[in-house]
Amino acid sequence: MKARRFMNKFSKLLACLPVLFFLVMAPVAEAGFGITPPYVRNTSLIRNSTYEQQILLVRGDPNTAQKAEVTIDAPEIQDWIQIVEGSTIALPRGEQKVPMTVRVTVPEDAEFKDYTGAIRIRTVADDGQVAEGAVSISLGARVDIELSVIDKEIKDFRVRRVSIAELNEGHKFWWLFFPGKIRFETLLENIGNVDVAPSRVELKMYERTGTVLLEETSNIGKVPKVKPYATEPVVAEIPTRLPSGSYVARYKVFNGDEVKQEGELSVNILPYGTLQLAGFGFMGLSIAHKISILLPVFALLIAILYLIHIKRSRKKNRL
Amino acid sequence: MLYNQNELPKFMQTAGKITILTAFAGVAVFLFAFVFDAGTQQLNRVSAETASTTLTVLNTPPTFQQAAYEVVESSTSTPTNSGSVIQWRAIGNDSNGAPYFLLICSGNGAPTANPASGPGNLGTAPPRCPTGTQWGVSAATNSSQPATVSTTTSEAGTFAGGSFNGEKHRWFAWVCDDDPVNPRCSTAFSQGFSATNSSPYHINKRPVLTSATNNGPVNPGATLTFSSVSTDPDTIGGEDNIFIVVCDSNNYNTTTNTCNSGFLASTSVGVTANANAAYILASIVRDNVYSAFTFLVDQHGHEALANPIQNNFTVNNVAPTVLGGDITLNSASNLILTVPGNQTTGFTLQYTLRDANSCVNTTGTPGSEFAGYRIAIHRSGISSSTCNSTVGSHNPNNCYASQVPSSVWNLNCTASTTSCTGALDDSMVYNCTFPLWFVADPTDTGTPWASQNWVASVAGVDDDGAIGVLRTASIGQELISFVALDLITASIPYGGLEPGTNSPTLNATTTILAVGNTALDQENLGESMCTTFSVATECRPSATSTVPESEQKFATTSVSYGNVAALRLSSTTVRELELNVNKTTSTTTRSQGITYWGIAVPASITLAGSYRGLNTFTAVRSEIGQGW
Repeated sequence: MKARRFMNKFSKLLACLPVLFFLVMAPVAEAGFGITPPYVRNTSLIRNSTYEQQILLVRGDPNTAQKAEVTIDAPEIQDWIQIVEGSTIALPRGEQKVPMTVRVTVPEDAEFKDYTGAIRIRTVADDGQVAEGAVSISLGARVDIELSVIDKEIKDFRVRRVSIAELNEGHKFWWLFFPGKIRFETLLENIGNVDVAPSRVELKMYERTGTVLLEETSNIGKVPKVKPYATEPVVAEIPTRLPSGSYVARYKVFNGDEVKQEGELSVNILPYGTLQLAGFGFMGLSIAHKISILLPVFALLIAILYLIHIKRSRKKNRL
Repeated sequence: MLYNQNELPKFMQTAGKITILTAFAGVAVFLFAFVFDAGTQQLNRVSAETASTTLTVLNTPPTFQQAAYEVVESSTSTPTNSGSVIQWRAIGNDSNGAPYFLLICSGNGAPTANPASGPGNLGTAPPRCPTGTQWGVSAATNSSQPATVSTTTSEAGTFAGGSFNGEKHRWFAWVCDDDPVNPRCSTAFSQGFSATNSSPYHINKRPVLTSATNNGPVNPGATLTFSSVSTDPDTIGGEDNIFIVVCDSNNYNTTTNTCNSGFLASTSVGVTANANAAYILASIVRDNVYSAFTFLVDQHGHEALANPIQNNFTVNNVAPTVLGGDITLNSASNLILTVPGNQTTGFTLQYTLRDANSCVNTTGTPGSEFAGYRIAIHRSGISSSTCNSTVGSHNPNNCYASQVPSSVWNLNCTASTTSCTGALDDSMVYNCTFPLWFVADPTDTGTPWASQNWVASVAGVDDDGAIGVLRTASIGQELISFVALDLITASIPYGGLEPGTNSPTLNATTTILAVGNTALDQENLGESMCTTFSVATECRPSATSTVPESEQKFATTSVSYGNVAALRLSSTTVRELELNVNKTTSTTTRSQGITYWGIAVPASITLAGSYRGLNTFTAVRSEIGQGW
């Protein structure tokens, strides 16, 4: 009897209260989400070029598996942009940061102008479930797209690091002095759109305290080039006639006439033969020494040619 | 007149012939007696017998067969050092064949020859000079054999009172015998036979070293000057040039007039007093006290009696140095924060400390010269004079200072085991790791600090506590924007509503936290709600059981649900809310942004229950000037 009375009352209550509960409880969130960098930017793209930018997706709490859903919102250039890892990127348990690679492929017929857009990333539970009885919140972040397609070559770079390895001092061989070879390594970031290398590297060598200038020298030969948008180490080979010792080198890295980077580096020159490194060969010789080798060679060649010529002339006369 | 010889008597025939013969015979006898002294004895006897006379034949003095001379030239230009041996030599001849002596006197008075005690003791009584100084007398020497006189000069005493301040001395040589009866000396003296071996002889006195000092302490690579209070007493021909020679130990070689080893310095220009010498220290020298011994020598290679004077010098301790190009921040890569709301670890710093005192102190342990470092890693807009590694300069937004406790900033540096190869090496490479807080200012494009970057400033501290000057890296690195958000609650607390009603005001709130290093705005998207919603299975459109996402509204303030400022949520059109959440600057208190929410439940909804859905909050980096 009592039970029936209770059931009746409950049915009436249900009928009177078609209430929606959007929240049962408010769970505390401690799992932040972020991206870095929040942009894909390149202002020197040319037609038919490809540019890649890596973006890290990071989580404050990687203890649960999640996935990131990526959408591209860039109407004009939707076709140019590809997420290398796909539109859904797994954020495995334990992985605090996951890379996402955005590849921009500029078509042949791209208009020369600026392009913008956005890539949106949101994180959801790996199983797609949301909290019961709640309007859950998914965290996401926006990657801004800023691209410019231009019709001119930009030859520019950024020096990210310079270093000079230890080297052997120069040495004498008969009358020829073969200088020591300074390997001036530059980590170069090509921020233009054509292959680029430093046009010149200059060194002013000072004694250890940096007060007395001992030698001025610059690179011999060309420095290898770095592809557009790449960051690679390149080496400029610079001769030095200084004896072994500790020196200060004041360097300048040029791009054309512009000094892209300058500073001071320590240089250790070791006695000849200390390191198993090849020094300069013929190229490192002074002009006078080069001439002293080339002149006899040319003279010999001329003499041989002259003899051949005389021999032929005599043969002709005999005939 | 003609005679007939045959007609004359016999005596007449021989007359005259006998006379002539007799005359010739007399002459012959006379000549015989004259030439051969025939009959002398008989005549003498006849004389003695007739008169008494006496005659004493005297001893004759020896004579110079070869004039006396200085064996080694002793002259103004080549004097004899005091304390050295001077020698004279001559060849005497005694007509009696007796031995002789070579006597060297300071005066020209005839010497006194002394008689031997008997003919059997010839050569035992040398002569002597009558006055003045007797420089020497030889041993008895056989006639016609060379006699040598040797004597050792001395700095003072022996020759004091000689002419010209005892520096130049005349000498007179005699040869004498010691005839027991009548000893004789040569009647004339000898003073040499050429300009270079003649009287006088010259004594080179020792230079005088009174004291020796140096101008230390000096830095490595500097010039150390060794000075002396020194003179030379010689005056003839002008004062002698004097020199000091400095050795690192007491090992001066008087023959070569230099150090046997460990030569440090010597006087390069001849001076007559107070000689000094310059010693350019090597560019890399340990700070320490170094032995030095100063020797004074004159131009004739004569050393001072006071030699050596120990004159140790000190090489200063100098502070370590760093070159800007020898500092590499984060392996030349951008600084990328990856931990929302916390520290990102694993950033790197490499630098090379250099010390003119070498990388090794006297213990010999590699790197022992270096005792520590001062490091500041900072945004380049904050200079190293402001961000100077002190506790007070530390600011997790833009300046990380090494002097804060490791609990505040855990900078950890270790020395490379492959650097610092010995005492002649001045460098030591250090590799460090450090964390950065999520609030560290970004310097890439689109931030207020786009023209800057992050750099490291480094100074070394040596084993004596000397601290170098903070030097800033030549090349900086960008710190990349880190857009990150977090939530205080992970859902929207709408509560319960009856169908046909709505939230009177936007009173449900969500709070986002800026846990990256940028100011934030927020974009919102949302899905429809139903009781069966999942990401994979979105709600079917239904008037009775699905609440469209557009029934949700949001704003930056708690406006009424119908207010135009309240934006409708969309599942397709992103709505950006200009929350302008400030960039968080505190590592403990995050900046917040509150979104106010409201909802309307359509009257057509008949299905009661717990509806669920999913709204997406997309973090957007704020524009410059909004929340930075």
